[in-house]
Amino acid sequence: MIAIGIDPGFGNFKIADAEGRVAALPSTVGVGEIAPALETGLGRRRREASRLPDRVRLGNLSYLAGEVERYARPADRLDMDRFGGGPEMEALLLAAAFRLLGEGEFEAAASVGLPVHVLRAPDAAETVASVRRWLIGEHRGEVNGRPFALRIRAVRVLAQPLGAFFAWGLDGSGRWARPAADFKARVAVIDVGFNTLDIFAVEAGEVIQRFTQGGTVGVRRAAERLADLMRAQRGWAPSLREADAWLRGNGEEEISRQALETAASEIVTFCEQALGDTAPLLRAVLLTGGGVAFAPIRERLMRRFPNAVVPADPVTANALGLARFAVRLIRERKDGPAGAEA
Amino acid sequence: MGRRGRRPKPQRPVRVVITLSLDPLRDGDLVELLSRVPFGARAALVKAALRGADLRAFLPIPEEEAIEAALDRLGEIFEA
Repeated sequence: MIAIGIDPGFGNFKIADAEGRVAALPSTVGVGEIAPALETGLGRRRREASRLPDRVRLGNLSYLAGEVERYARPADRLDMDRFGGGPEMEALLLAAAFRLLGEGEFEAAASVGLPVHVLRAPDAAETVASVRRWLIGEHRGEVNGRPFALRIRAVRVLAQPLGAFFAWGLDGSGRWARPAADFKARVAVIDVGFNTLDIFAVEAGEVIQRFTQGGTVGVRRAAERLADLMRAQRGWAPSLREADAWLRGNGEEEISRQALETAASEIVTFCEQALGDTAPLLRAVLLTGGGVAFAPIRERLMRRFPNAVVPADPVTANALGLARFAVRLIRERKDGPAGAEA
Repeated sequence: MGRRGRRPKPQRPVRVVITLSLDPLRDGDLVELLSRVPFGARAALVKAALRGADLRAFLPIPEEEAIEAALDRLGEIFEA
């Protein structure tokens, strides 16, 4: 059985295993076709390098998942109900897992990260239950014409930023690998996603509720600002997905920097309000999420929090830490009662 | 003004003083055990030992185990 971490972000769907392998694809799904000539002879790496979406077949239905904008109209799902599954999420799961594991049949224990504000909502228990209903069991289909199956035996739902904390502190066997003093100290995580901004603080294994907050102040604000600026300056406004892709590809252009600076100000203000009086007491502030990949946002946060730590890949750090935690689920299953599903 | 403090027990406690001379090699495990028991808990440990109890309950949890247990709890926060 393998341990996997699933981070179903609004911007990207990320998946990782405990050995450190990661796969990420834009969280977009559409119905369409890729011209066969474009696909011929493409291996996985060349497909990713060419930014071709994956063709996912679920029963009689076919989807494109990932980089679909050039081939199909993307079906964006930014609602919270999407965490309960559905064909779009299933297509993303199969495409991401196929990118991670390749062709074949696999059995896994999975940790899944959800945004903090989703887990603090009044209907959080129902959301967690629906994630488990979706994920536990068999996920079978064809990806790019190859058969693929993932049987998930155990699921644990965690807050997304806990993934970054685990990536920072746990080793590949799911055990604490840093000095004990780091575990006892107060550590904060700032997770800047496309649609969400999560702040999470942990001390000696306890979540500090006072400094744990979630909001919808993510990179989406930069995408909206960019769309406004483009409408004003060029007479044409991109969709949020297109604006996000533009920001990633043209981050150095003046119009992009302007949009990102606006988002950076809001993000830093939110973080200051949440962490203000505890900031000097923090052993580390872990910066994670796709938003940290943008220099204006990362630099502003690093200036404000001098003890900030940026993981090697902030986009996939949550998924990696979640995968390391999932190793513990496998160990639990071996130690616990036979057949128990966590 | 009423009487303050805990009422005295009807029977006086029987006080037993035992002096242990422990060999650092042969009794090293006991020396280690007694040195790790929190201050004030030695008498309770001896009483429990005489009744055949599992003495591990008296020992502070090793740091590694405490971290492992805390990590497990951290992973269960959002479990129904």
